[in-house]
Amino acid sequence: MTTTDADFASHAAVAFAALPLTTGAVDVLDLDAYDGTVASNRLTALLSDVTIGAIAAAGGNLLLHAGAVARPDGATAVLCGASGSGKSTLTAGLVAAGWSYVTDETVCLDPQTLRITPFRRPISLKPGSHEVLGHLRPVPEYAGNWVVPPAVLGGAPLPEQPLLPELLVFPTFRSGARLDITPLSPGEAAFLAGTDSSRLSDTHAPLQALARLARRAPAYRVVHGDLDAAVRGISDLLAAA
Amino acid sequence: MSPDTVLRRRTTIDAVELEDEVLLYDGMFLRRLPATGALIWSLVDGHRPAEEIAAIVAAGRPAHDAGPVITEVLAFLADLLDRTILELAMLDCTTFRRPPDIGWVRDDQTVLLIDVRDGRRRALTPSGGRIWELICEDKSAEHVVAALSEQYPDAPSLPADVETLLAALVQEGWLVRHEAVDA
Repeated sequence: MTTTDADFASHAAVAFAALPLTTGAVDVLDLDAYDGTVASNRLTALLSDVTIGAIAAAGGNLLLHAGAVARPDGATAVLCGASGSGKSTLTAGLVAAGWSYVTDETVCLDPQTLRITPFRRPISLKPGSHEVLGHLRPVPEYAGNWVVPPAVLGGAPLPEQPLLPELLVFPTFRSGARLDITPLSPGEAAFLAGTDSSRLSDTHAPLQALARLARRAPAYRVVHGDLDAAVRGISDLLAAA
Repeated sequence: MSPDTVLRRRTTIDAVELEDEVLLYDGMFLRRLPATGALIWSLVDGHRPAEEIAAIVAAGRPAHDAGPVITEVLAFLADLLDRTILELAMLDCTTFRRPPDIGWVRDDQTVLLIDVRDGRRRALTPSGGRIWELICEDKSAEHVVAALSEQYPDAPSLPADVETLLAALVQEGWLVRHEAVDA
């Protein structure tokens, strides 16, 4: 086994460990099917399949395409956004600031209680965010997305208390933009969160779940061009929530 | 859609109110109706004509805005109808009456309607003629659909087709709703 293969196997083990408990069903992934000469490419593909499998296993829940970080008391900030909105970078930045890492991909909420099930998979960081997250640079460094295991991300450990949404953030990265935080109405928040959800039709009473979420957690649109400024702004909101 | 069209919410649409907004979900698409849209939605009750809804909304605006507001509300309702979020509310126990100045005659496969006041005429297709005859037998729209469903069991668009024809006949003055005639 080459050094590259060993790294791949190590990261894959971390990825599997991040999966929530299932009912006992066993899924077999054919690692030989992941072709490519660079470990990060194969690992990214594996993580994608793991995520798809986790989403499929979470039927009935409200699944938001979002990152999330938590306070020590379980109050959780949910960072909603489509791919490319910068939520993974923002999540990594907030964890580096001391919040607990919950997920960077899919927030799984019970549609009745809104209790969040963590999905602490390795964060996949696109090349565009490497400069501002240099402390997460893998050794040896490789081209393409950096896949960073939760243990390397840092931050506080997951709270023992149940994780519940207390803040909704809809981030947008715009190069050179000044930090702008705008409150959203519950209707706007529910609509935007629902638009960014996975398999809404499989959620139990999806409209009521979205409304419950929007009534519970104040929501903000955050436009930023600087990660540190965004982290400070969102940290202030979460501290006050 | 004519201004006197009565619309109702489709039962397949799930709706939730969030302060002064409404979220709608049909199992595929999520829609948000803010402020005025939510007010319009709240006024759709299966009995109010579109023009009455528009008048209520316009009453809350400055008088000089009334005309444009009414136009916008009617367009908004027509759009919700096109998107199948709303449907025509004619297929209830609503009955129709032929006004006294409207005559009709069957000519083989065709039914010909005649307005004796001005000689205006309208020919109905064979299926349209059958609908006309059932209506003239004091049948409600609901009973018309039931009767024709027995005759055409494999016609999923039958209720919509009946609604469309009856709405057109009312709009053109060949029929009136039962309540209007009694008044």
